[in-house]
Amino acid sequence: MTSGPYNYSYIFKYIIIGDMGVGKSCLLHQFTEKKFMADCPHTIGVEFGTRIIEVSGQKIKLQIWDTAGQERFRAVTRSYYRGAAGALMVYDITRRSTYNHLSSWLTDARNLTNPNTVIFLIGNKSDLEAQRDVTYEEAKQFAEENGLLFLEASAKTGEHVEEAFLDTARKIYQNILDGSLDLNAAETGVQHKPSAPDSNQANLEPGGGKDSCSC
Amino acid sequence: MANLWKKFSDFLGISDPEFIIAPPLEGEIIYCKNNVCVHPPPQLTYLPKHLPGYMTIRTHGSGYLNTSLVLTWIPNISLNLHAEKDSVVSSTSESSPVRLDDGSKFSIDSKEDNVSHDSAVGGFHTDGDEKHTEGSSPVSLNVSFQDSGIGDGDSRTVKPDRKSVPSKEGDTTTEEDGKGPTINGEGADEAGLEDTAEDGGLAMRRGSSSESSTSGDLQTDIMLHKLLERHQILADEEREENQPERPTDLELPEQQQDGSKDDDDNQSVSSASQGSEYPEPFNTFLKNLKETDHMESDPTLSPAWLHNMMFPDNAISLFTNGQQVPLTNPREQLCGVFAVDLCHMRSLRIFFSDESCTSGQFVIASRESQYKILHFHHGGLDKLAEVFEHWQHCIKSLNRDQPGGETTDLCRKFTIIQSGLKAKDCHPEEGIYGPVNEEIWKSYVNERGQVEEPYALRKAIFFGGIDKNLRAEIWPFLLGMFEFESSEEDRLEIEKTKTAEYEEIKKKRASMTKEEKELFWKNVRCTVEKDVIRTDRSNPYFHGKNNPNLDVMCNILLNYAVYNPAQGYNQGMSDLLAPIMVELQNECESFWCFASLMENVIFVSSPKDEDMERQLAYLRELMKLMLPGFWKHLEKIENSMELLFCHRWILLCFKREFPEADALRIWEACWAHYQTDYFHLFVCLAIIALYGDDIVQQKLPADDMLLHFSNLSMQMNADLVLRKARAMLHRFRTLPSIPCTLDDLCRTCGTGMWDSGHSPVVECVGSHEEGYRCIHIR
Repeated sequence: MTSGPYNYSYIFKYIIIGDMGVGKSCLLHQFTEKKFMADCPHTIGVEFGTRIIEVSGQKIKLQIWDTAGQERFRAVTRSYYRGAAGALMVYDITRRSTYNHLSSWLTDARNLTNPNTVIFLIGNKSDLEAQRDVTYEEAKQFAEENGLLFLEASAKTGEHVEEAFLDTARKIYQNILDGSLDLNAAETGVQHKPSAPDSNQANLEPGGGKDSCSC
Repeated sequence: MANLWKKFSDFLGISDPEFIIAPPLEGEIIYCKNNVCVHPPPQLTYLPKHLPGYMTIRTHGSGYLNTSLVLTWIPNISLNLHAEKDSVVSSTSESSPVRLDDGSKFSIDSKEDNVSHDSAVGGFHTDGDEKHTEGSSPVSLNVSFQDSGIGDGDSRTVKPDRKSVPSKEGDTTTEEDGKGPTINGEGADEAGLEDTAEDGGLAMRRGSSSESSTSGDLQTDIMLHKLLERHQILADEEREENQPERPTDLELPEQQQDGSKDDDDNQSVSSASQGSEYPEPFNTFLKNLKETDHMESDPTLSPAWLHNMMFPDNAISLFTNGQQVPLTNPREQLCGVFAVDLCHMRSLRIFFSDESCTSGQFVIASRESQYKILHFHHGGLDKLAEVFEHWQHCIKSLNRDQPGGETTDLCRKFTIIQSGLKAKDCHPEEGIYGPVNEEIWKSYVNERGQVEEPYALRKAIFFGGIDKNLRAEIWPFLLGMFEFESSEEDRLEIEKTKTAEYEEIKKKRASMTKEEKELFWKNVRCTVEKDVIRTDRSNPYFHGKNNPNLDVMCNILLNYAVYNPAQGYNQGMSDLLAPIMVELQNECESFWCFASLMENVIFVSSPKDEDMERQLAYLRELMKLMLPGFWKHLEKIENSMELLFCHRWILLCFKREFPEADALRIWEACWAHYQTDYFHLFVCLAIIALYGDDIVQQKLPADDMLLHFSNLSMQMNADLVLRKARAMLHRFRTLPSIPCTLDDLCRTCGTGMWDSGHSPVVECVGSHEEGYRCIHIR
């Protein structure tokens, strides 16, 4: 039962950015629902996804902001960057233009988030090898030059989707542990929820004894 | 419910509820109601619009401060899934655990908790039945999905169930017909509801009523027990007491199909062998259920999971062993058995949607702004409010005697806000107009085909909307393709011209040079093509691969970009075009209506900053004026003035906030341009007024506000919102004075805005750019 006030210790805010049609919403959907959504409606404004994951024994709730990709929404989209702990920057490996725009997305991400924000570059649609327009190597190099984590992934097959979201979280968590991310600072995109269950809640927490009667 | 409480206190020898010291007994069911609906989101197209289920509220925990309320909702569909006659009969003979004699039982863990409360709910619980040991699932029939998952036998029972009595229209057995009225307490007031088809197909399993003769017994336990046995709603208590003893295992036919008057919603009593054919959506639903069986039979799954005792996004956290487990799918999360401890929720709200304040929605918000919305279409919500009020009262009076403790905290959780809209708060002309139908429409049109009183017609549309069948005819007027005053003849002429003009546009697009084409592809076409294939695909009109209507949509959008290159294509346009295409079913006409919508209608701003900014500026002023509490909150928090949560509302005119049918009613109310061109802003105000209390109370920051409203999309009551919006417009119009910042808002409205003769004083508020001389400075 969702009885406890919080069944996780941290909330990390992520944003997903990138050109329209690169598959931002599909990546999110694949991550939260483990499904490929073929006719995923284009995002207007922002949409949310959440999932609770576990990193080093800590339960972390990812609150993922999925943004609109069209250039014209850029002004609004910028408002969503505030206080993001992680940014997933997505391009489509079959469309070079989406890759070429990365530098401007990156500029936004750097300018509008805090220095500790973990930026993860995702080359989506890796299942469409035949239509590849951007090589792995060059994107890898771009990522290294800019200090980004990088993976090619496929929202369709699910390949590397999990990894991208989880690796970002691990990196953020690591930043917390080594003190480079100060939880007390403003707009870190991380909220700490001390899980201090009251007595009542403890009784209701799920996953208790295996020997419960099946009545 | 009041009766019950009265009896309860009588039983304790206390006449004044003030003096009830003890809260309801542990495990006691203090409220139950059948056919409480959950509305699956429209994306889940294979599900019906309404999923009725059975709701109970049970007290939980012992001790004073630890007592809380557990709400459980079980879809009827799953009740029926487990209608194994034998197990039911045998189990009902045992005492229903209304009260647990062993208090410790409840406090062991959630598994047990779930199990026991489910059994309490249904009263069908078979003690010690160890047959289904995997996953320690209870055997009781009313515990849904996991049963079907674990025992193949269980799920198989569904099939014969459905096939044995294929019921069609009028395929009802006389026996049930005869019993209908006595069993169905609520039949009479349900006629005319849309959900009849879905509701009626469901047969809800209920237990033996062999103990019904004890009706009226004042002994609380027995009475509650009896209530459980019958799955009888408390609201029907009186009728119930008058009922004769019923035979077990009755089945209620799909009566709504043969008259709809009787019963779409009731406690139909069915046996496994007599189950009726489900409507098609449910067959699919059942099939889907079965498909997920494998997943659900995983013994490592916790019952909490299986019971869907969580808000959707908490799902993963329940797996403490860190294993990767299949995610539950949205269907189960949204439509499966649902149970929460109400004391751990952020807020509980009741929204009445009818005048008499008996029907409406019960909204449960978790601390993370996730919502579960239970729809009460057939009354009973007032009783729920009473139960809560009484409960709160009990807790409060208890706490008076308790030193310290988290008393206030517990009480706060039960803040019930009854935001029904009383008649006196509505627009004075509310409720006079029904949808504009053929007859009404004809009354407005003269023999030459002219609309003689456009203002009156727009007013009628503003209040009542347009009958679906007439949209193709009236929308072109509303959207400005035709003048209301044009005659049939004029319109034929206009159509001819417009058709020719459209052909010209098409030609223009076809005759682009190679360079132009490339540029057009880069700037427009590649975006359009990507969006068209993901716009309203769940609508049958656009459904399926290679649907020709997708090409039509693509063409209209491309042609529009040629016609109006300055605007080109903006994401969101396809969303606005799709419903027009569906209603008009004509490319050329759709194009022109869409073009009018884009150009002449103020509210559909292109997502250029200045257009949106102008809308938001008005909205901020309106909030300041009409929602001062909310405004104060906005002033206190950072980054709130961007009103990010309103952007999509305005951009798509609420299309993604309400199911399509509701959204179109809002569109029509806006398009009517009755008394204002900015009705959409009043709709924004209404949504905030109705659903924004949490934000102020809990001082939510900007991000959480966005999350709050984003989670409410497709969950709000459009009827209520519209009525509230009209009421707020009326209030605005009767204000003695308005700030000069809103003066423009009124001026652009043309005639009608101040047609009441009242004209407010415009006062300069002084917030102008330097050098601007406001004409309203006194």
